[in-house]
Amino acid sequence: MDDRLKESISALLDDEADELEIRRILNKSGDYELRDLWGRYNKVSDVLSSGRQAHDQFSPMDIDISSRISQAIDDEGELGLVEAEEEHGSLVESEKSQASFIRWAGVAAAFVLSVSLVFNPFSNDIVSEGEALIASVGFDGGEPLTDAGLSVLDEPSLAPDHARKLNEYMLRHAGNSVTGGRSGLMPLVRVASLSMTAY
Amino acid sequence: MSFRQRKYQARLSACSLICSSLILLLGSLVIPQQGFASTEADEWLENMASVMKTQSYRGVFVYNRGNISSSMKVIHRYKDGVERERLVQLDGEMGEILRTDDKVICILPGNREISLEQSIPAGPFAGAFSRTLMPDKDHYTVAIKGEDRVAGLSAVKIAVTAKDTYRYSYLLWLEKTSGLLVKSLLLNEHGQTLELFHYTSIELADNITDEELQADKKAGVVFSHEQVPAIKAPREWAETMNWRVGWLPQGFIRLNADNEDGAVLQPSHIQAFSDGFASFSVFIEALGEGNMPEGASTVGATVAYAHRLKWQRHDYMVTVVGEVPVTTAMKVAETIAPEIAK
Repeated sequence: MDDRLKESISALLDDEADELEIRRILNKSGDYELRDLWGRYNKVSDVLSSGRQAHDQFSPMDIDISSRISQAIDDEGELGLVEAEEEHGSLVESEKSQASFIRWAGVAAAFVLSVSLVFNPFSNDIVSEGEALIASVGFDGGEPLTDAGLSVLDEPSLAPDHARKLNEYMLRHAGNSVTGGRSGLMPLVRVASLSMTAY
Repeated sequence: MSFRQRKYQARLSACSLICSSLILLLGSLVIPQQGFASTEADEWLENMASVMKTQSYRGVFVYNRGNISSSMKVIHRYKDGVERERLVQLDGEMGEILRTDDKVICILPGNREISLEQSIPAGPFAGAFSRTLMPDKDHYTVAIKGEDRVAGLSAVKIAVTAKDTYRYSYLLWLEKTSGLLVKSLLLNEHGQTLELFHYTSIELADNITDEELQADKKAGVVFSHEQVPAIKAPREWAETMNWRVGWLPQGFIRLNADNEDGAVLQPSHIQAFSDGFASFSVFIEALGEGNMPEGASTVGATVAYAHRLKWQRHDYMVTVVGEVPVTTAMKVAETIAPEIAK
C-alpha cells in the first residue's frame, strides 16, 4: 500500500478526505492490509480518547503513553491549524455543498471499512462478532447460531455422506493427536463418542 | 508539510510508539519469567503429562460434547515401557478402542475393526511436543484455582487460560496424590463449556492384566479389518507442488514439517499442527462427491472447516479439523495456497 493511500485513510479518520481519496479507499475496501491499517488507526484513536482499554487480564494498551501521544498530536494540530487556515481560507457556498457530499461519502467509506472489519475474521479484537457472522456466510441453509455465537452445523444435522466424511476426518485427526502420547486420552474419547454407525 | 500530512505523520508516530512500547513491555514481562523456576501450577501440569502415560488405572467417566453425553470405561496400563489402553463404550451399541503406544484400533458394531493411521512421525518436529502436554507461556496463563473433590478423590483445580481468541481455555482437576487428570472442561472465549470429561469412579492400580486389555470379542466371530479411506490425491497433482499455509496462530508449529518455518505442506495431503495443548489437522484433496459442505461443522469442541479452493483449472477442498475456534480453522483453511517448487 502506498503512502498516499495511508495518508488518505488518516485523512478519512479526521473527516478531511476529499472525494477522489474516498473513491480510492472505497475501491480498495476489500484489501486486508487496508482494513488492518484502518483498525490500527482506530485503536490509536481509542487510546487517545479513552486513555486505556479494559481487558480481561492484560492489555497491551494499558501502557500509559496516551498523554504523550495526545500531546504530540495536539502540538502538531496547533501548528497545522494555522497553516490550514492560511491555505484554505473560508469555504464558499458551492464548496460547502461539495464538502457535504464528501462528508457523507466519507461516512460511507468508514461504514464499508467498519463492516468489512466485522466480517474480517483476521482481526483479533472483533473475533466474536466475526464468529457470529460465519453462519450466515458459511452455510447454504443459514443455520441458527448457538448462544456462544459459534456457527454450527452439528453432526446430527449432517447428511449421511457428510457425517461419514466428518467421522473420517475426526478419525484421522485423532490418529494425528494420539501420536507421541501428547494429548492423553482425549483424542480417543472424542472418537469413541462419535456415532460410528455413520462411518 | 501540510496540516493533514503532519497529522498523518503524527498518527504514524503514534502507531510506532505504541508498537515499540508494547515490545518493550512484553520483553520486560517475558524475560524475567524465563529466569525463574516453574510455578507450582506448571509443576502440576508437567507431572500430569508424565503421569497420564506412566500411571496405571481403571475407571469410568462421563464425556459430554454439546448436548450429547456418553459414559465409558477405561483401562490404562504402563508396563515394561509399553503403554496400553482400552476404552469401552457403556452406552448404546458396543464399541471399543484399543491403543498400544501409537497404534490404535477401533472396534465397531458389526464386527468391524478400523486401524487409525498417523501422519506425524515423519518430521523432526514430531518430537517437539511428544511425551509432553505443556501449554506455551506466551499463549496461555496457568494458575491454581483451589481444591475440589472428584469421584471421591481430592483434586487440585488448574486453569489454563488462552491469551488470545485463536485457541480455547481449559479447567483441569488433577488427583492430588498421583497428579492424574480426573476432570476437565474445555471452554470457549465466552467461558461456555464445549466439552466435559469427568470420572465418576477411578482406581489407581498396578495389577491390570493382559485379559483386561483385550477387546470383548466373542469366540468364532470373524472381524473385517479396514483402514480409514485414503484422502484422494488430485490426479493432476504435480510432484513439485507444495501447499503453503499463509497464516498460523502464533505458537502453533507443524508436527511433520521438513523445514524450519513449518509452513510448507508436502503432498501427503494431511498435516498436523499443535501449540503444545491444542491441535488441528489440515486435509487437502481433490473436489469430489461426498466432500463436506463448505463452512464449519462442529462436534463439541472439534470444528471441521471446509473451504473450496480453485487454482488454475482445478478445484480442491481444504478442510481444517481440530479443537480450535471456528475463526482459527477458517483463517488457516482460507489462507492455504498452492505453490510450485522451482
